Amino acid sequence: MEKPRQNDWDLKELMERIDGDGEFLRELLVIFRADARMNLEKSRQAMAERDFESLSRTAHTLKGMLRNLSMGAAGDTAAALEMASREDRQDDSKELLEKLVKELGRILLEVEAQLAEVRT
Amino acid sequence: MRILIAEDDAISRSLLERTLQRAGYAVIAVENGSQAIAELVKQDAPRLALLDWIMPEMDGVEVCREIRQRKEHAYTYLILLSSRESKGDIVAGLEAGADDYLTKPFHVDELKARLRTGHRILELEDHLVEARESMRFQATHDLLTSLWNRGVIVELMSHEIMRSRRERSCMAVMMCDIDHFKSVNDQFGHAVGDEVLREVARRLHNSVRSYDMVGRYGGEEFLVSLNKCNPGSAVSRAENLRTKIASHPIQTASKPVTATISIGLALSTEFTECTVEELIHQADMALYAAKAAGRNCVRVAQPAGVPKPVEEPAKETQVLSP
Repeated sequence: MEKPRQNDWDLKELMERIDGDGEFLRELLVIFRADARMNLEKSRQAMAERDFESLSRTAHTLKGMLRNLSMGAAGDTAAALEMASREDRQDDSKELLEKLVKELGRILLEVEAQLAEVRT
Repeated sequence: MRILIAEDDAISRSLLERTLQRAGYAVIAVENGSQAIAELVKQDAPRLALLDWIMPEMDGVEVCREIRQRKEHAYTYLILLSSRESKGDIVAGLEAGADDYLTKPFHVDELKARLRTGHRILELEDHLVEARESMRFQATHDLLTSLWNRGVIVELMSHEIMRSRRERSCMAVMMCDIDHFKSVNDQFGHAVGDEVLREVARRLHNSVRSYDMVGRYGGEEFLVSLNKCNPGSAVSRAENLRTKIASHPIQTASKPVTATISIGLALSTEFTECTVEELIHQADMALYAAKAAGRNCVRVAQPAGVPKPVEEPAKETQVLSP
């Protein structure tokens, strides 16, 4: 499993936007953990079924949540995936989904760590 | 102020909800376009709405289009939320009826500033509506008594007379005149005279049914139309109006003033060929007869002949101060 990278998640910027409210951060991360996994699963399934319209929609949803949580790099990958799948660029879509899966894997690790920290 | 958020992404919705609550808004949050429409068409719906562009069931652009098609409600300021940056999309959103758009993820200060713009537009709209309503009222009502003014009451009655003929119902027209009103002005001054006019207007208005009409015809003359009236009970209803004025003095700033009215009554069923102006003229002639009979009484216009007395010979009733 890859280690979290410094530039995957700008937690400082997110905290500034929510006025340093740790309890609210926790709420957002709990939603994110569930929704990100669900949408990632939907994306994989859409790719397996070559349903690029559905893939474009889930990529759009992922893009929104990632950017809202200051996870800009993965948000950009999701945006590129949304565009590629909308334009039916199948090879690009496949490549971008793989990239997104990796980025999200790292981010979810960070999120878990953050949730554990908030709990303690 | 209340605001609607329509956003399917739970994270974006939570962020918006919290930001807006902290900025002092009462937030209603929904998850799709259909729910947004349901909230926005309610009586007392929020006047500000943030709509996500892409949502299940009905997207933000469709919500804008739908809301703009319905014109029965007060103006709603609509802001589209979008991660789309292409000019074509923005133009499509604005043309569908959005007032503004914000790109996601939103910047808190920018969101607040755009909402302040929305407030300014809504305030401006409220002022315009208020001014229009006030002008409409002034154009149709008598300023002293707030009854219908002469032009409007005559026009309303001309519609009513056509309806009564279509439906074969009776419309009773009453011309009411305050007796010896000039002496009220002479004795107590015009300010007291105005109070008497206002109170007579109020008593007349409160003594008829909601679908009857009362207007100020001239100085101390009032026109009353009893719609869908039973011809047999028209006289007793006119008598009722007369006694409502005569029965107890009018409290004015100066002193209580006793006032009476004379009434000329004409029934549309007795003058089947008459225009409304002719029917009013008949009521006016009957009013002259009531004045001649000693005032404070009712006289009924007859199709050909002398207006008929409806009660024992009326006594001359002076305007008295107690």
